[in-house]
Amino acid sequence: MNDTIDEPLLFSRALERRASRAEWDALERRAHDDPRVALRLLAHLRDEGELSLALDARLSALPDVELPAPSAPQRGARALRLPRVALLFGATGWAAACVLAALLVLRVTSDERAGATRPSRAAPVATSHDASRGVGERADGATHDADADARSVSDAPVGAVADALASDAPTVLHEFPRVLVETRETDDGRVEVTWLRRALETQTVDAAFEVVEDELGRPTVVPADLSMLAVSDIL
Amino acid sequence: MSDSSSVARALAGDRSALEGLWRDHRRWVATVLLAHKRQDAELEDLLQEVAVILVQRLADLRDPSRFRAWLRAVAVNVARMAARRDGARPTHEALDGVDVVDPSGERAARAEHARGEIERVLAFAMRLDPDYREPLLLRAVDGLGQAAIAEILDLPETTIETRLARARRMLRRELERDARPPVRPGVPDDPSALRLARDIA
Repeated sequence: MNDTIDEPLLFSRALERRASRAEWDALERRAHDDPRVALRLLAHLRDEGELSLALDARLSALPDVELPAPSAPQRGARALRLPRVALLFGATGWAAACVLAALLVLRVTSDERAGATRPSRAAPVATSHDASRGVGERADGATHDADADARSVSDAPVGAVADALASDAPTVLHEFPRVLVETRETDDGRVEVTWLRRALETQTVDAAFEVVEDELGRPTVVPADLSMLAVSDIL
Repeated sequence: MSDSSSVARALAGDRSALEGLWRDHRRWVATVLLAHKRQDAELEDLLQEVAVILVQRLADLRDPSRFRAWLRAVAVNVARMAARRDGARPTHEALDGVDVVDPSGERAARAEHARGEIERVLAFAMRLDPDYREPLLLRAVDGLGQAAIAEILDLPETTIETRLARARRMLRRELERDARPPVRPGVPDDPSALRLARDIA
């Protein structure tokens, strides 16, 4: 019966020390019939050993990475964390605040430009907690820029502020020099310039949402604890 | 061995339990990162990110018995997010620090001499499809058996066994395709080699 088991599985069981006596016997019979079987098994054995040695060398060269000090991470007190783009600005408090402010107003201002209806307390944006509606879909059933929301969730790093609801427009306090990202010559001979605008804005928000991971590591939007904004470990 | 009690203690604020969990698992976490990261991503940085998420997000884990699967998902996401953040395509055809763009070509042949046999096997393992690469690398980590790998990957043990068998076969084929001479010239006229393999195993 074990003569019907395919060779890779038989080899694998031998390498895993899980082969039964009958499977070893089957291997031996095959080796009698074709001595190259034994050579192939030896080659697999060698591969296993060399792979373990190589991985061990790779991991042993890695410094011991220890856990960071806790910063109010326990259940019910989820700290908001800024995405790494903050590091582009030197990770100073002002720059981080700038990015946070920009994140908070990003959706609001884009809605204004697009003429979309801004969600309000009366029509809250659905979160992942509301399984009957998708992210960005309003409670009243109207689709609220669902594509953009889905994109922002899938692209946003964990801990990023994914959305905010605000009744008032943001106020620009200061605009920092733009950061050149890319230039590209267009077909008509002009130059298309892509830059990063950095602005320090202030805004009163009614609610904010952040990206977290569910148990399967999928990005999920949940309501953020606004009180934690002020004690973010990065700010 | 279940991690549930340690996870429960860590969730209750026991820092030493959390540190113990990390020490117990960081080696295979690094292996998962290695299996999924971009070539130029720093393994140490990614491991540090996983450590940060473990501290900050463990409270999100609803079922402590699924800690390993959760931690593996965190590691995979850290590797993928790093690839997206760095703005280039994910790569699984190259080993960290080692170019294996065309392992059957002249470049690989030159690199092979410099690299040595051991790294060569790992380099070819890194070229496998992630579904096969990850369990194969995890199996090469000290003490990780099929049951533990099944728990980490959240897959049935029979699936792991099948994937490992296929991964080993694919790895061997790739190595043989690399235009190398056979492991040993000649063919034995008796199954003594099999007995040797059996004794070693």
